[in-house]
Amino acid sequence: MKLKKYLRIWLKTTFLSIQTHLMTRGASVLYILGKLIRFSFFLLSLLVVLGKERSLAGFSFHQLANFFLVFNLLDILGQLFFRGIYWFRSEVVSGHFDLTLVKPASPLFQVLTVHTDILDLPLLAVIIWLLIRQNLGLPFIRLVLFLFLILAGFLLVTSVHILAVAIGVMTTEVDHLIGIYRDLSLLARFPVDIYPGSIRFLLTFVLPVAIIFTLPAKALMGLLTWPLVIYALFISFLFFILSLRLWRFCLTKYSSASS
Amino acid sequence: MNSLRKYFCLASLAWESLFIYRLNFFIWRLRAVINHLGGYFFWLAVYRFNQQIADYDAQMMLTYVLLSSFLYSLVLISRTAQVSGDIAQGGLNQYLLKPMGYFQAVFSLDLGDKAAGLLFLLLEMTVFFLVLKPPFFWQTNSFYLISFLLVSFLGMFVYFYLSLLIGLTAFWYPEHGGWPVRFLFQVVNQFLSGGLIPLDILPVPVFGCLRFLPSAYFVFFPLQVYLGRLSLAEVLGGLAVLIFWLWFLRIVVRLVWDKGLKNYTAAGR
Amino acid sequence: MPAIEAIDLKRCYRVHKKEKGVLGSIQSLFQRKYKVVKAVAGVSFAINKGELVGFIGPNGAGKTTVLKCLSGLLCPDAGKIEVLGFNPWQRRPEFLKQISLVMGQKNQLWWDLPPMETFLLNKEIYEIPDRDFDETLDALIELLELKEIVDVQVRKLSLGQRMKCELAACLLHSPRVLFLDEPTIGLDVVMQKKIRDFIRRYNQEYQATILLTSHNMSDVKKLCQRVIIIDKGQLIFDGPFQEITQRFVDEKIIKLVFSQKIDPKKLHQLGQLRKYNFPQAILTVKKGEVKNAAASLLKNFPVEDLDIEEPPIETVVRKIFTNKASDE
Repeated sequence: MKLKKYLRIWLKTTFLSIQTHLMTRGASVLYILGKLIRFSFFLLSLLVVLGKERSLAGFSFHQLANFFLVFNLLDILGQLFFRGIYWFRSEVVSGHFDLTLVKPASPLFQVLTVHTDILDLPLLAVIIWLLIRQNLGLPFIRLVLFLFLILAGFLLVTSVHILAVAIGVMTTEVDHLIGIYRDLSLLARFPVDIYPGSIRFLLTFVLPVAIIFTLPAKALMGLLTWPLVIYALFISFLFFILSLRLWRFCLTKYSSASS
Repeated sequence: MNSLRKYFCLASLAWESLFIYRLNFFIWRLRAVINHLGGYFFWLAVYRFNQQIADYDAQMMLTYVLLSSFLYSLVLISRTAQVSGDIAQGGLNQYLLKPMGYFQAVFSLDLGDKAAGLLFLLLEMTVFFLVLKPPFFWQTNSFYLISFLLVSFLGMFVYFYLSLLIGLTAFWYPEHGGWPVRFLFQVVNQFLSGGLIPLDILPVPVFGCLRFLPSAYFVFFPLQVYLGRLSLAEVLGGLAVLIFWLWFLRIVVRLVWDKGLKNYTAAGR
Repeated sequence: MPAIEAIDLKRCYRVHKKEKGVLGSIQSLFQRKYKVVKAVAGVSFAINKGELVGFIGPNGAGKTTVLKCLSGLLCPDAGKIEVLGFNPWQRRPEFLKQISLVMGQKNQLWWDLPPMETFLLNKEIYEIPDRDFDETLDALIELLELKEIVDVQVRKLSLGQRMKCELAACLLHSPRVLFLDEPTIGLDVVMQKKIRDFIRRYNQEYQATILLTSHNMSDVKKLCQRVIIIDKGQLIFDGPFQEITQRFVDEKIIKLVFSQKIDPKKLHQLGQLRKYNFPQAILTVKKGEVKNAAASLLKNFPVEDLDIEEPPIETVVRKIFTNKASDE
């Protein structure tokens, strides 16, 4: 029952979001263009540097492209669903968040999903198309594992966003906490193996963002090992539970803004 | 001299403001460090498995990457990014009501920001160099060194005017605080300035066009000078193009500003 | 020569009209309809040095637009304006150093720093000599009671305290002309009075010309001898405050207290019965008939107390605004 309610709310806010984007048609076109261009420039750079049978840490260009595409996929999914987080701080400062809190729906859900960004769809479509093109004739089991790990990755993305919102509630001293996540995750454009030992360790165990983002790509290319899969699932769930706990805790510490 | 004091005051206030929120400041620097390291390790990995990319060896490329961080802080971090917000949300009013030039005010705030950014970049780089000992190329030719500094500073001014121009579009397109145009500009500029890869490893016809655009002079051209990859004639040629863009953009900015102000609705009480 | 003069001032805005719903949004992708709104449609007035004038009008009447034109923020589409002999639009430094515009919510105080830092910044911007600055600052701190708060971060101050600091920041350069846009908005009654008293003192002591807009009738009543009423971009009244009631309203109010119960229907013959709540009653009577009505009441009814009043200015102004609206 509750699920249906939230689905309806989500559909409604997405609908309103679409209308808003249509209203500011110029801006929407520019955003879509910008996203596509940014992606293309990076892909172009990769091609220029690593095309022509060069390799990186034993990975061929084709394989590196997969890592790059999967990273972008998870990155875009995060932005698509959770764009609202970029406005969160100003909402808290302006007192708008108080209004969110008194509504009869989970404030976390409201804050995270209120601005579904459909402008990410064109790029998402391009990425999915490229992924398919790159990986034709894939054994079914790999596809299943891939999808499974994408879900785990998305769960981690969700957890990170919840974390950022939780901290944002407690202290408005930080502008864009989510920025750190974006910067760190950028390191996951490439397989963790290219980094020197200590960094690799950091990215695998301390901040597992990178490793989780690179796993679905490994699934596509049959480079997975079972320990890795189990580790990924474990970490994703752990982060999710922890982030929810932190959110609840931070909410109790919330002190609303004055007029 | 008295009239310049107001601008010094602005610059020092901008500097002060950065340090007020310690957590925010720390995270800003952390992000800067992550970004610089990310680029560096990527190229380090590339060169672990490949000797040359185009005609750049490991040392040249890594120097390029490290110095581009410096240029990024000097040239590409700018208060001009806030101009569109000022116009769209009425913050411009406070400047218009006071006896001071808006451009000069923005530039002063800019200097304050840049000073803090560069200072900390220096500290971070020092630690970085001591710990990781990168194969950095230390230019000793004084001509190239001086030209490098000259070109970097000129590039800073060119970027200032270009970015200002982008910000002024908010007079006509104030939606979302002018962010759509700014976003597109940043995305395009990042590549065209040589911030992702040195422009000369692109195919020759492509490079041939890009090298005359103002963006090429923000990161790529100064670094070519530093690395000593250009002849005297090429350095002077590039300088001429820079000066042209500076002159041209100043005029365009003035024109657009005057026109835009007429359109201004001073919204946002 | 008047300090402020406007001759046939005109200024329009273009507003884009959106059709309703999703279909409307898609339609706006291809075709946009614009509406031209005449914010100021030919306003003329002259204000002399030292006057304290109130600008009133319903929301969207054009008051703020006029202020913004006078301070140089907006370029008039037509007409001429002159402030202190300058054309505001040229925004000469000499002009800007003599004026100040205070707008309710948007402020110039740096949010994360104490107000004193902004004060010192303004000292440099306006090139105020050290001695003048110190004197003015001390006077302002005293008048506005700022001693405790000048060194506290702006974000930690209450709205009232911020407003006072904002006002101080705008007066450090001792402007000769002051434009105040809704200076008491959002403040409690105690703070409102303090700001009003301050404005009055500033006007009297420095002979500053002050133009003030407000929705708060108490502000206008207590401060302004002269009032300009603007509605739909046009000037509909310019004169002494007391004349508003005389000009626009043809009635007076009679307040009665009865000692015995009476039949309220009988009161209808003498005027319009607004309220009857024994023992009190309120009647409105046309000005010419007040004397007769009062005499008749005293003669024919058990009246214990009778008071004749002008309608409250708020009612008058509301009537002016809504009358105009219904004229359309």
